[in-house]
Amino acid sequence: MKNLFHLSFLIGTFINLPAQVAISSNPAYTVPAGVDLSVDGSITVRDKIYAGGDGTTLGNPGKAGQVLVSQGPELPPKWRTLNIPNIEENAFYLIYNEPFTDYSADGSETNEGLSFAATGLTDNAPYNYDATLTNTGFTTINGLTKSFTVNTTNASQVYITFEAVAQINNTGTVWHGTDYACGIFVDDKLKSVRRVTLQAPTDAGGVFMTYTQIALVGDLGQGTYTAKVGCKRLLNLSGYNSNLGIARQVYTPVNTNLNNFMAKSSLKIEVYEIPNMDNGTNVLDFVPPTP
Amino acid sequence: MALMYAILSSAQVGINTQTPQTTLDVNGSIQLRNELQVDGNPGTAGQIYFSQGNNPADLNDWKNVNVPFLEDGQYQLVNTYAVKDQVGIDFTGYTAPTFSCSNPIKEFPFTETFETSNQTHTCWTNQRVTGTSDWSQAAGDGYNSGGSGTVRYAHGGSGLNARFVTTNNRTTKYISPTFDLTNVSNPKLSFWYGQRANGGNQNQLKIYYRTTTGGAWSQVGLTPNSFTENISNWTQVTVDLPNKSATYQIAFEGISSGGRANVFDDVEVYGDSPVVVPITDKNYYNSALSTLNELITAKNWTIIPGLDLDIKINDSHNKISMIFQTGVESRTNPGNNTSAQTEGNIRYMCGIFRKLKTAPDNSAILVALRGDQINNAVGKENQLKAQSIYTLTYTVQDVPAEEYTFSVACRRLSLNLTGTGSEATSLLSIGNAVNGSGTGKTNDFMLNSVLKVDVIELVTVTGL
Repeated sequence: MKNLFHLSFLIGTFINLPAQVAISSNPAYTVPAGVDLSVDGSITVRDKIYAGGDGTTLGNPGKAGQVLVSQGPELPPKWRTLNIPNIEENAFYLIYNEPFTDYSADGSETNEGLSFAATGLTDNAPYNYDATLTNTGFTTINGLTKSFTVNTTNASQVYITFEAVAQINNTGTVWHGTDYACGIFVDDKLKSVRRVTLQAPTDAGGVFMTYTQIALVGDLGQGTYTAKVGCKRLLNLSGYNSNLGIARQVYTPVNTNLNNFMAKSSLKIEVYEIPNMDNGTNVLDFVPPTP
Repeated sequence: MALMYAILSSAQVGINTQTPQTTLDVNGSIQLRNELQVDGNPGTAGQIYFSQGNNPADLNDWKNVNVPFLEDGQYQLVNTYAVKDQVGIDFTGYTAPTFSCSNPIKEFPFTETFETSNQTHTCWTNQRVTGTSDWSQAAGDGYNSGGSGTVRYAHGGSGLNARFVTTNNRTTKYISPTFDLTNVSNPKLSFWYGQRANGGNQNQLKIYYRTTTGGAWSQVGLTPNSFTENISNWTQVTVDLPNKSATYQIAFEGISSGGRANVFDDVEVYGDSPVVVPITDKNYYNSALSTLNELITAKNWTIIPGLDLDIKINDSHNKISMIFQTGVESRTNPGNNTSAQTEGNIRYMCGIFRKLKTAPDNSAILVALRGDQINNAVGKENQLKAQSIYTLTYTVQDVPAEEYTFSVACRRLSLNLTGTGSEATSLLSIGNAVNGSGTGKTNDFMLNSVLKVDVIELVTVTGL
């Protein structure tokens, strides 16, 4: 025979029990310290669970689709919304995103970026897709070499953004200019290259410009890759015979309008994938028991 | 307060129920003002309470999930679309189309002054009805009497007008160029005329129209429908043009009875609002400004063929972030391959257009734009051309939830040169290399274009 204890009350009445209440069929059951109600068994809640609140304010009953999240000891749990994307078939989703800037291994900003002298140039353009780093003869910005992973066996799109400031050490008395090219390489194969001219009219010295380059690579299968950025000085214009800096200031006197920090380069790698629907990353850190 | 607790020494407790189904059964809501322990575990911050079905309490527990949380009002990257192309657009030389009287006039208001600088003045033709006299273009009516404001001089006091003859018993229609009035609302004709009497002899004038070339003439609706009075001073007449068509012509019929010559001048054909026909030739340098939401047909925009993106937007509270980059190459001087470039530039504009996916291409509207210029590389050989990079980053908000097609289009604005070159010979390529034109140091791959669109939608946690 069940031993039933009913706490039943009418509307408008309440029972104010002592500070700690235990519900158990075991007379020796004790309520742990700091616990107000201890149920030695299951709980049925036939209506809402309000989280938080006090004697004058009702707690939050949550909204449809929210989950009950712990806020740790001494705090009530909280209803929150999980950021679970609504994955559609054959659509690309951002899976990996890493932006970073060039830092020299020795910590010296003067060793970041590249400086090209005016002599010994060869203009070996044009360059083709997948040309090797060796064949192009580009010099890499070592601080921007970075590995990334494509997880999916479905299609992927890797979107790489490179930005730097380029400067020439021109005098400001004659027209000067130089052509250069920068390329974005994946596993030492050329995926994007731009050729531009940095030039200055007669009334400007130490001219610089922001150089932004975007590569979209759509032919990488599952695996780990290395992205690199390299540049090459190609051709002097109007007899220009001094340095070209890419992500480095080269104007003398130094630090006039531009310094190495301002010229610093950055790279951002974004990997977009069509997720493998049947083999995706498990969002849980445990394996639910089989029913 | 350790003594202040109660052990309810019973197997099952019901609140507001006499039939509890579990150890504690609350027939109503509960409120948790403090932590919720499960088997003694309150969880750590960020853990989620997971049910594992009808298993013991130690399996129903707080667990971590590798998923971030969202808050109401945050924006979330929902989807990304990206595409690249190396077909691009080749802008080549532009030569304005030569004027021809056989092409109907499509822009209104149309004005005929009969001055030699007015290129349509040669398009007027005679159709003899009686006799062998023709209209001519001359100054005034040829009778050297009368002051300013009279038809002794052309309307306005100088220049030329249309003039008939003084010979008796002559009737000839002077037929206007052909008008395409299709897009003209409530077309009207206005003109100035005069016809002086010579003693008792008085020339007359009638106004006709026809809707097809070589069709039958009808008189326009004037009351009375012919001008029979002695008119010495230039007088303006305005009349509605009925039955508009794409091949519409007007005729001024001079009827000479030996009076002074009929004259008319400053003919205008116009509607309620001006009609402008955009030049669609992609090579045209159109310095007119563009504004957001303009139709792709409003100017001579040319689409980069490989950059169309079909984009689905699910929530009208959104931010659509677009980035477009392309290489640009130009050669403004078609001359000697190895001579050096001089200062100059070509200005151009690229924009991103959006249309409903199922709508026709000509419904696309401009949603993002920037102008830029490519400068000649001073001192570089002409055949090596000039190269530059164009980048457009733009965000629009709250695009209605629909399926769209986004496209990129560009157009040329102007050519500015100090040295050799002209609109007829300068070359500009966007998204690919300039074709031919000497030995280059680029290829289409080096100048390719990329478009990426991020769809970022508002997080809404709906329903209580």
